[in-house]
Amino acid sequence: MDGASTSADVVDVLAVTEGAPRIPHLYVHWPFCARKCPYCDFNSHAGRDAEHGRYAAALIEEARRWRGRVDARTVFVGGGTPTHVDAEGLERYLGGIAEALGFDAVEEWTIEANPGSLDRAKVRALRRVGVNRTSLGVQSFDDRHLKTLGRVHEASDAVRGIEILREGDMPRFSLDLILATPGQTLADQERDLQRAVDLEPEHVSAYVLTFEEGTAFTDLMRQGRMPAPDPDRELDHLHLACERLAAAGLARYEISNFARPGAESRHNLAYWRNADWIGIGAGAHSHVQGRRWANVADPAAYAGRIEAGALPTAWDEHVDAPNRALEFVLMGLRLTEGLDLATVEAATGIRYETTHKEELDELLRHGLVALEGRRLRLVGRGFDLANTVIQRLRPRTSA
Amino acid sequence: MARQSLDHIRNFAIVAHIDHGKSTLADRILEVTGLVERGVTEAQLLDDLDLERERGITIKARAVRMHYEKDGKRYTINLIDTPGHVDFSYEVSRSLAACEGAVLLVDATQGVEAQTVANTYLAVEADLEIIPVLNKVDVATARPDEVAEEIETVLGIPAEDAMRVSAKTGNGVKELVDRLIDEIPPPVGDPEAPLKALLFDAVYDTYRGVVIYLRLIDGVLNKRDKIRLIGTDTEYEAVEIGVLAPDRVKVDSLQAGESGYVVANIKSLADVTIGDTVTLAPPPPDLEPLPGYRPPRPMVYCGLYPTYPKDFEALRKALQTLSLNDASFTFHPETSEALGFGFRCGFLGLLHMEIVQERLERESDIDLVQTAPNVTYRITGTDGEEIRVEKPSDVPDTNLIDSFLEPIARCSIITPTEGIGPIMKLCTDRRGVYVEQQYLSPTRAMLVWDIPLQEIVFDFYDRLKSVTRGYGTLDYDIKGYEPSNLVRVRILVNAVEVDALSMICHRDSAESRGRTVLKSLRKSIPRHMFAVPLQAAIGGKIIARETISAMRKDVTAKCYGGDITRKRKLLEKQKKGKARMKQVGSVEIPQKAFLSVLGGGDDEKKRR
Ligand SMILES: Nc1nc2c(ncn2[C@@H]2O[C@H](COP(=O)(O)OP(=O)(O)OP(=O)(O)O)[C@@H](O)[C@H]2O)c(=O)[nH]1
Ligand code: SF4
Ligand SMILES: [Mg+2]
Repeated sequence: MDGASTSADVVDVLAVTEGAPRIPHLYVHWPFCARKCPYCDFNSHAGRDAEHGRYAAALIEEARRWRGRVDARTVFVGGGTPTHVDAEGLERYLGGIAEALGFDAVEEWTIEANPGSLDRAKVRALRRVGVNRTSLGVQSFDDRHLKTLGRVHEASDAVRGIEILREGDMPRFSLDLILATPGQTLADQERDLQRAVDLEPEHVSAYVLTFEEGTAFTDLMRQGRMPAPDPDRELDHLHLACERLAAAGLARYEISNFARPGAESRHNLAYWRNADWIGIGAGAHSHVQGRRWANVADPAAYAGRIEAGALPTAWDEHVDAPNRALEFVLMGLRLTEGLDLATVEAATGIRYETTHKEELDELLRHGLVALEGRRLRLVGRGFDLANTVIQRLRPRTSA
Repeated sequence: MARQSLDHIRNFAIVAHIDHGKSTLADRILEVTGLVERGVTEAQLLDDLDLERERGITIKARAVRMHYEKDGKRYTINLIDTPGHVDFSYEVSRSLAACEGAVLLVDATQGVEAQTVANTYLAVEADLEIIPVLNKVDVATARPDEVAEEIETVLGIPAEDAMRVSAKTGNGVKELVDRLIDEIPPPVGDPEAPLKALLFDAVYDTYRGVVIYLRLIDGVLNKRDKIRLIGTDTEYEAVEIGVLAPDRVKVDSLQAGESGYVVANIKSLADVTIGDTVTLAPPPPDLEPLPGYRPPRPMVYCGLYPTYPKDFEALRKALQTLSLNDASFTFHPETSEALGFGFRCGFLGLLHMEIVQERLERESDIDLVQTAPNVTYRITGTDGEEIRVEKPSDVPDTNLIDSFLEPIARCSIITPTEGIGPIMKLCTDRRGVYVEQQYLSPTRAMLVWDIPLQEIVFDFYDRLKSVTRGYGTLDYDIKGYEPSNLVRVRILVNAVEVDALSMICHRDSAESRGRTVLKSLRKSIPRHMFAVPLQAAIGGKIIARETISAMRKDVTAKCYGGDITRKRKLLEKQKKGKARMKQVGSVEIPQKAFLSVLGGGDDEKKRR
């Protein structure tokens, strides 16, 4: 899609962010997977393993361009499946990026992994470069549901994956679960949650399955070959997850994320607090002081641009104040802690208590949010209706 | 020189019940006279509005001029294809005023139907030579002999030697044209007299202004002549004149007995009135204006509001433009608490309403909210004053009403005899009163009932079709107004009255109508973050209630760095979608909900 041409209306992101403070968060995208899952709309590609070497070199080269501009406290390597590469290749690309940018200040370095894509050698490689947190895409502990989801692994792989991580001295790990898979009963869900809790993770991400545009699942659903999502059922699954995880000491700190106190994903907190970060790799997004951009999505096109010495940027935009304020709201409200309207005002000049007085009153009256001092957060049903709440708080400008 | 017979001209219209083949016959006549080549054009060439092509029906009468040679003499023929649907009978009567003859086309597989009868009466009233013709004789189930007999019994027109044609194959069409030349009288007029022409149609053209269509009664019109529109006292230069053949073809002059178009740079829509008399400037002092047309009497009203308030003026302009081309609907500004500024529009029937609304949206690009239609009522107040009610919110408090009158339609229904029973039941259910019944043949009958108009404009026709397996046909005429036990039902959404949703109905059906509307609102209003009570009330008394339960789940599972932009854009899009909703109190009501009064949003689709 995105060819190697650089459109004229894309700014030089390196130049325009020149004066900004050193960037504290780094995202790295690895767009390859063993197989494409039928519900997945991420920038991930199966059957393109031959591109690993070229892509890794491009990643390292892009990292070099940001040398001196990034002072990473958190690093997150996502995908795709970042561990879908051999141990040597894994160490080479992660080590190369670390060396290019200097990871001295890194406190949290997360990598996403799929059960089955991990082995002892890879875990050793991860530890050697400095990775200290792994987010494992378990999704379910029931082979029937894993099959529905089209996952390559089985439940036993997940258990085995965690063993390998523990044996390899991976300090922190998180589990990803998918909730309300078609055909999954509430009892099935309960069993899945129990198995997860039994493994004593410090962190769990539990997502209600979403039918995204352009995925095989959505096509099947439209053709009537898969049940359409039922919000009431989804809500039952989500509420069950909140309850069971809380009982196990995993508090809900974001709509779909649960952690023991202090074990929250610091990198992801940075997104929800609307901090600055740089993303490198195909399709990676970045945000620095209200400027957002994304790289070209296709891995080969991306590598081509880097090799040609060109900018990999596909588009960029400078977000105006009302929309920046909206971004603070739509990210910040996802957190249990909510957001500080003073921060929003400092960054955008917009005082929500004035611009959205009526809406805030209405939301308060219906018990969807709480406002304590200047801190606004979801409460009660507000978590189930987050989008409705956000919708009410969209900017009023522009016709 | 005195008025004389303009021997080489023939003006006639084709009239029939809907779908009996008028437009198809017109195609064949155009071919026989050599105006178009056989098979080169699409079927129903004269149905040139997009809507006509999509729906396969004629909406607008359409005139076309051609030449024909017979016995060594060259004739000019003006043919007008007319619509068959009852809602467009005004178009038919306008067309007939420009003709000396009418081809009464009857589908030989169907026989005489309701609009066959109605249109025959129109032709008789207009004093035309009526030529009955049996169509579709190529079809195996055609029964021309029986149908000829029906024409004689029902219409009193001799039909033994009625021509039998197939508009599809073209069989008999040449003979028909010959016969038309022989039997239709030529127009009478005086080419030497001062110009006197009937303005029978007009259309707005962005570049050329209003293009008017004239039928010349007397005199001659030359290019560059200065014309005067009598009714509006305005003068223009005829910069281009021409005929429709079937597209516009320029000519240098038109004369008595002929029809054509005139481009005169008319920019003001208000200067043009359909039915006006046109002459040359300065007007002759003793010129008698033509009688024009009897003004149409809209029977069904609805509110049309721009979705975006800023489009109000654009909507006014669009209504004016369209009313040039369709003189049979009316409009005047009105205000609704729920919908803001808009127009109350009157139509001849429901199909007419639908067509006007669609033409407006297409021809002007304005998004519209339409309220549910209602018929007109009359109320005599306790103070003796009579008011005409065009919308439910015009109804005063009950204690100020002395009598509440509704229009009664005299309905003629033609049906195969096995339909009689079910039709009687249907008419009774709709508060009808039996008038008479007549057998057209051993197997077909005509029933006459008086039924309140409000009971027939909405779904009566559909019901009639279904109880007669498609064979029943209906025509109606307003007989007058009669007092009835009518009430205004108010609709409250979240305890706020929504004026655009109130309706007038018979006291006996108020509860069930109220319930139906609330059920349909419950389906069309999206869930809100709170429960929304819906109520129907007569005065202060609640007669039905429903609740839209609160929304339970509206949350995105995943949202990380890369999703922010997308999520924000999605919100913008939703916001645009919301602009199409009307905010009433704290409830957002989608536009389609305003049609709920029709009962069941599904009916609306079915009609399309
Ligand atoms: N078999 C057959 N079909 C015909 C004949 N004449 C018309 N039809 C068909 O009948 C249908 C209706 O024809 P139209 O010419 O549109 O009828 P109309 O009377 O102009 O209809 P409205 O303008 O809507 O009142 C079309 O499908 C025609 O193809 C005929 O002589 N034989
Ligand atoms: S493994 Fe993850 S990124 Fe890869 S296709 Fe499956 S869901 Fe998508
Ligand atoms: Mg037609």
